[in-house]
Amino acid sequence: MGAEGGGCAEAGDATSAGGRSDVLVGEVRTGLLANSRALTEPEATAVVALRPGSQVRVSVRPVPHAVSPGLTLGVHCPVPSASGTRCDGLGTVLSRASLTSGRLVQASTHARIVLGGRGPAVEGHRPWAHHLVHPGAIEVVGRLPADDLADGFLLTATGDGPGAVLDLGAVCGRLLDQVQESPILDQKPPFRARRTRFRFVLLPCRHTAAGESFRDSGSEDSGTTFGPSPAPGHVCRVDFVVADETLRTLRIHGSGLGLVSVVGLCEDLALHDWLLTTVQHVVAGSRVRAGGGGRLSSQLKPVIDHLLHVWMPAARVGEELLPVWAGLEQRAGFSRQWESLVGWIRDQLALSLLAGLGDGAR
Amino acid sequence: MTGVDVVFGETSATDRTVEIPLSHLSVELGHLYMEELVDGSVDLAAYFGRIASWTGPDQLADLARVPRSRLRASTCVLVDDYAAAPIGPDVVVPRLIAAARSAGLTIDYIARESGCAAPLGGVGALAGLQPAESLADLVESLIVADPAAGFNGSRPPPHENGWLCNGVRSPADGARQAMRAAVAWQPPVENRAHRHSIFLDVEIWREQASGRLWSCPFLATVWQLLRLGQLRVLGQPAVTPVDIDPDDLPTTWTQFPTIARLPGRGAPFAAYRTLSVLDGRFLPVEHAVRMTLGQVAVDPTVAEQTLRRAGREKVPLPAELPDRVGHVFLGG
Amino acid sequence: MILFATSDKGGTGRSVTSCNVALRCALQHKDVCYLDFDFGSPTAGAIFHVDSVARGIAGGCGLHSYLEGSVAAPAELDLWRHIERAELQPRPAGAGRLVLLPGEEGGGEFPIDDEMIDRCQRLLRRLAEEFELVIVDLSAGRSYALQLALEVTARPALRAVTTRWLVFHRWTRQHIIAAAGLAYGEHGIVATAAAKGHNHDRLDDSVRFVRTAVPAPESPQFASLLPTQAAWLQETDAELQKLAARRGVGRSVLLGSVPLDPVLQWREQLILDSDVWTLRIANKETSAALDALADDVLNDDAWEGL
Repeated sequence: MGAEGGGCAEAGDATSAGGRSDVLVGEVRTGLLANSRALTEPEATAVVALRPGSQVRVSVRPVPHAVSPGLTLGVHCPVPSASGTRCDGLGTVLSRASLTSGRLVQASTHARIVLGGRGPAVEGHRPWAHHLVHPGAIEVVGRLPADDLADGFLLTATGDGPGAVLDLGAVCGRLLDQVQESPILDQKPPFRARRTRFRFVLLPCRHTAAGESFRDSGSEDSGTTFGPSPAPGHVCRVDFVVADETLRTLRIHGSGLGLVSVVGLCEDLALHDWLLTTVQHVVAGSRVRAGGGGRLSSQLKPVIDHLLHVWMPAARVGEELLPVWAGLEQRAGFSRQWESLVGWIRDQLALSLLAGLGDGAR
Repeated sequence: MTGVDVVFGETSATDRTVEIPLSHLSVELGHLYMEELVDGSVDLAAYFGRIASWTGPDQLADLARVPRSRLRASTCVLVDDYAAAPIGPDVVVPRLIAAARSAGLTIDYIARESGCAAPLGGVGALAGLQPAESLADLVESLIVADPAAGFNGSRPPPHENGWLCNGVRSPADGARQAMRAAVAWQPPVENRAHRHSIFLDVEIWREQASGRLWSCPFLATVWQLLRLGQLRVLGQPAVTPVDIDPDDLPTTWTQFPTIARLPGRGAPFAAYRTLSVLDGRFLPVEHAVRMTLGQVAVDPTVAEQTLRRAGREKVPLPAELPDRVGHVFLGG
Repeated sequence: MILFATSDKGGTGRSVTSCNVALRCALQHKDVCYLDFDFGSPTAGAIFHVDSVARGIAGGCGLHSYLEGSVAAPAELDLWRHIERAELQPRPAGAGRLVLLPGEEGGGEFPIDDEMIDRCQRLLRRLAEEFELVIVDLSAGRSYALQLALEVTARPALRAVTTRWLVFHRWTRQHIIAAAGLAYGEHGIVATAAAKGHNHDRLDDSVRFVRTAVPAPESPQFASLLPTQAAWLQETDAELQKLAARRGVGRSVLLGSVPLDPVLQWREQLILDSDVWTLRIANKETSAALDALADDVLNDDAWEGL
């Protein structure tokens, strides 16, 4: 009789002894909302109210933004590995969907993969309820270097393919589909746009770049890389790669960073990358098709109507992660490219106005 | 630029999750089917007498893991009115109170099972968001199924047919492409079985012409979650006990609160842990309840609040929900 | 827009015509994708000159595996990278996307269940979000593929998406009767759709016919005919016109006619300008008919209710 608890876990992450490290892996998919006009705030809220009884987080500045409650999914499968090492993981992944400006839709899925743990949890004797106490963590059995995991996750050719390995992309894609199928949407987007996939990993700081100083140089051994740390979180290295037409990857090395804010940063980056990709595609098409006579290409109009005002880099990014945005601005020149595209579109608009005036005069 | 730190926040962007008062232990004083209350086949005084011998203050303090002097425990009974309710609260409630009193027990709260499946009210202030249709719908949306080995997220989770299990079912004959071989039978497997499988497959709901019919074990799971104080609707308590006057009771259960508080000095309804003292025949139901509870992920904010409070109160509390639920099963 | 290509009988040139329409629409700046739902014989790759998937894709990642639920998303082939025709390399400037979702090598027909309908609906809705034109080439006759198409388009998430139906038939007595039967007969498209919850009138309005392998008596092909033969040809054509009108598949629901052309009949290939003007193997009338068909497919006026 009676229930005897098997130890009383404290809230927060217990740290087990011996070389444990955590790697955050995630994917964000971004697309154009399947609706003819931008949604109002109540509509946007209803579209992402994906779980009855749970709250939707809404903010209106600097652009309207609505985020669904977190959705949890259990998984039990090998985690990715570039070397092909097969290590089983058991736990849950967290997903959420968001709408920005009532126009753009994103789904993001992530999991904190706990490597090098030992004991009953990973040996498979802990009940499932144990894994529901801290949703969003996958405990891995066996030895797997963090870099092997990260490479495996970022470099997997497609995701979605046949295979047994953890498939965050499929979870994410399904969620995006689910949002787009909402009966509130009229399924008549003003133009067609490809979805993009943005994969990210967060690894502990290991490689100390020259000239960088660490306030907490012992963090890599303490095993609390992502936990609440007394030292302010910081980023020591960022790699952003445009892998193909729709896939981008981001690898961050950092310590003391809040997981939620890293996911938020990646959603923000993915959103702006999608804006750039989409507008660039439309502009490239318009340049080829430019009919002359100063007519505004019909493809440009919806871009002007729906996308140009959404560009608000780093709006929801925490202080400790701002350097990531700043670095990307410097190297990848996100905003410079955006300004140049917007400038071109404005020129076209001006030319078409002039042509219109000319027609009127005649 | 000056070095001013600007903190910008929008109140609507952050969750607000309300805490509710908690006892150390919620004690369920037996459970009877409605038929048994109607036909009077059960000697209620004797029934509560047997329960009383397992619910003495020392026993409860021990189960709650707090000293007897500090113990806050509340007692409750759930009335089985979901399927049929030929007699109303005005008949049942006085009978239960009297029989319990004759055994030296006080009932603090009386709840009705149909309340777990009834439309939710009282959260109208937050209209615009779709609140859950009922507590049962709310809990169903919290289920995170225990994944079978090999489940990697590439397919949707398979619990959407109204059943929940603790492993992998025998493969069914599904659709096959033309000119492909059939599959041989395979046994079901329990996830993380201890050498041998004890496979359990529980019906959560069944679709009927009149709407969705929730199963008894699932409503019992909702009941446990209410007693554990883990359910919120848009951050507000899903149900709040309502005071009733035992001398002025309604004749139908729909007029009765989901959770009614009887006059007296009862401790808060919800508690860190629960104890249910039941007839042995309810063991399969409670087995199903424990399995289902083990696949429910409550709002992490609520879970965290509860653990933090237990820590402050120095009450040892397991993080896993099934471990907070205790049972005594009585023989015949 | 989702365009379903059907035919009652095999050998109508449904697939080869649809592939050519897809190519032409992409060349006219539209983003187009083509789904090979000819489950028993997935050979769209061959028509598109993609040898690696000539008989469907290998490795268990095609439409069969996706619909059965063993992969999360089916393979999508960027045809501009895979078409083995020098004239289409590199991707023509200003061309839209052209993507093939191939069936599976060795794939067969399969009965459909609810989960499969869910997956199919999810896929088509997503493609309709990303592409201006989604062409779904269905197995001939009253097939599982056709049933699946009618089931998914009745789902709420796809009802809002414009869907259109093209019935291909050859210009013969038998084919006219069969095509009319497939569209309007018992257990035909309109009747089945209504039973599955489609709006009858709206669906009825969204069905059009394409005549294939039509002999054009005035074309140079028939210049050497004897006068008796020419007269007979005219007479037969007139009779077929009357038959078609009687069966409800007359001019009012006609979207296009593609002439008899050996390149389509024997080689089942894409017809490019070079095939007409440089190689001179295809007739310019064929090319013009395909151009017109591609225009009409995307032209709302051609689909206006009667």
